[in-house]
Amino acid sequence: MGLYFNEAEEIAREFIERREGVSESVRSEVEDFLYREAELLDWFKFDQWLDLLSEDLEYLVFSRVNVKRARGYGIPKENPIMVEDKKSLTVRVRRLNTIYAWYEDPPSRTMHAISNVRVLKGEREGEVVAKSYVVLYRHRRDEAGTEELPYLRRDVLRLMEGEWRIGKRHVVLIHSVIPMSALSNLY
Amino acid sequence: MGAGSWASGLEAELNSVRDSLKDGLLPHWVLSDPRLFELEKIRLWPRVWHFVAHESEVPGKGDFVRRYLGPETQVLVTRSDDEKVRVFLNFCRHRGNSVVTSDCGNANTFTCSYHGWTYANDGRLLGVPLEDLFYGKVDRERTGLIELRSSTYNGLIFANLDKRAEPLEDYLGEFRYYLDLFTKRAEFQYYPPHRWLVRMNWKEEVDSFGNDPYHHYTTHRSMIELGGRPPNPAVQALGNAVASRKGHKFGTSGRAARGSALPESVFPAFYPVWAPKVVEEARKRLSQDQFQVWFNHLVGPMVVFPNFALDQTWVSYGGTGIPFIFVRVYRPVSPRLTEVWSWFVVERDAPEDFKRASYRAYASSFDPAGNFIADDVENFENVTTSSAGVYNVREVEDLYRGGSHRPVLRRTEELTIYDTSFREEVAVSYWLRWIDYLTGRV
Repeated sequence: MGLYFNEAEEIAREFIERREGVSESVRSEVEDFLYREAELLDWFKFDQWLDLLSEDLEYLVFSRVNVKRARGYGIPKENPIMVEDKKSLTVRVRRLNTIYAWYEDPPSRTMHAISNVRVLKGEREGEVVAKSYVVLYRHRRDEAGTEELPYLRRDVLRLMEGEWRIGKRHVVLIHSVIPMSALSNLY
Repeated sequence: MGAGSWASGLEAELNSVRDSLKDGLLPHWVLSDPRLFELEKIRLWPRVWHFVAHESEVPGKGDFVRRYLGPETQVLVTRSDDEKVRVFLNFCRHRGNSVVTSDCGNANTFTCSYHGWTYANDGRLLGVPLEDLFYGKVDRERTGLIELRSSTYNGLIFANLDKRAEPLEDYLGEFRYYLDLFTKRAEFQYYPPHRWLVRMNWKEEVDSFGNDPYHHYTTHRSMIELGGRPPNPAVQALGNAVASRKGHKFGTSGRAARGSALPESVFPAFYPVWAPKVVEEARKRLSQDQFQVWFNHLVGPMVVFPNFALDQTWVSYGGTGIPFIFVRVYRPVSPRLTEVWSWFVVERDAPEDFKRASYRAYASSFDPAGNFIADDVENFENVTTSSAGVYNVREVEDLYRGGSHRPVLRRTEELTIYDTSFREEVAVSYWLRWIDYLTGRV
């Protein structure tokens, strides 16, 4: 069946699975962490953002294909839009920091609006699963309106020396045709 | 199907554009002209061969994908139960409703959601619900899905709406020699395409593709600063630019010989380091001459007329460069909006760790989140915008004279091969072919 179908729907399954909740204090700490992260991205503090990533980060962004509902959710796991780790995201940030990142200079202005946050117990002590909805609003140059990129996020966050760090980020877009001419931001 | 008097008026304008091109000038308004966009719908898209899928996308019986020919024409590419690949209009014979809305799948039959007419995956009309009660007898023989002319070349599936168009082999012509470097040198696997919308005319990226190694040193300067590409422009200036009078174009860059700045190990694009078997396979499958072209260069970008692009390139993030292949179709949406379809391609029998590395190199470079493509898009969008901006300022022209100080290496009946990777006459030959179609000369 070519590469089109991952019958197991691994990616969808980890988004749908039910997990036990965490204490109110952990929940609000994690929520605050996600909002702080969005703030760093939206004010172009990319170097500081890199500090939030754990050294073994797995960072994947998936787009969708239209398939019959009986076939699953249309998330071909063989070809994510982004397959990144801390090293490659560091390259991205270093690139944005040059004076030659033409598409992003003058930069697009973004707002990562986060909602539907749920913080759930992770696999290990000191780890949580944080699921959220993000709408990335963007305006760039002379565009007539705001661009929007809505997506689902599933993070594994871990406490390291008293600070939360992102260990894993899986992003699933809702688009099968991506409405932005370049995904030049961080998600 | 006459295009009316507005089309004859345009022919005169296009003939004068043809004259300008012979002098290396292209009037800038041409790129985003909404009248030409309409003319393309009549004279270009219904008459050219369109790449619709690779055979690896429909490997099994019943597999199908839904694709576009030009702006709006949707087709199904199916592998029927008899194993034959066919291309149909996505069009129910009753009212013209789409019979498939999925991008891909596997099905024995396609059922229209309007009145339930059902077709086999080889196009035969199988069922008309409540035929006796409502419709009366429908002639099954004459009411199947509309099958288009289709033809494959080394796994690439093409379709054409024009029954009288020349066969695919002739359409590709002598240029097949170069297309083989992307199709014949291995068994390839095409990954599901990514699709995204760019505010450019569909011809803008095509204009650059296959003939512009020159832009690297400014557009992609950020990646050069980070070590993603060699800083010495001589590496990419050496090579061959190829123009086909049928509108196809291709450029190799780099060159193993003549003291290019790169070590021997990088030719062809680091395959000897990552996947030596790929090199051996190519040696077996290509002619000796073709193999030398592939082996001695960093084989570059290619356009098959009018909107199908292929590229073998590489990137380095500090270590050994990683080769990757991708192909694109530029689907015109409006004069200033294009849907890019982009497939990652890899040698099917290459080692799995190489496939993963190659995919990552592609996704981080030329997919919609790519570190290279964003800055290309910056230019393509701005050039399209400025074209609309000078629509009524007809004397504003683009220069297509670059590389003219370098010699022609060889001419054949259809091909001109230049002794340089950069020669803007190659882009001119593409535009001339486009004008031939729009003025009805083809």
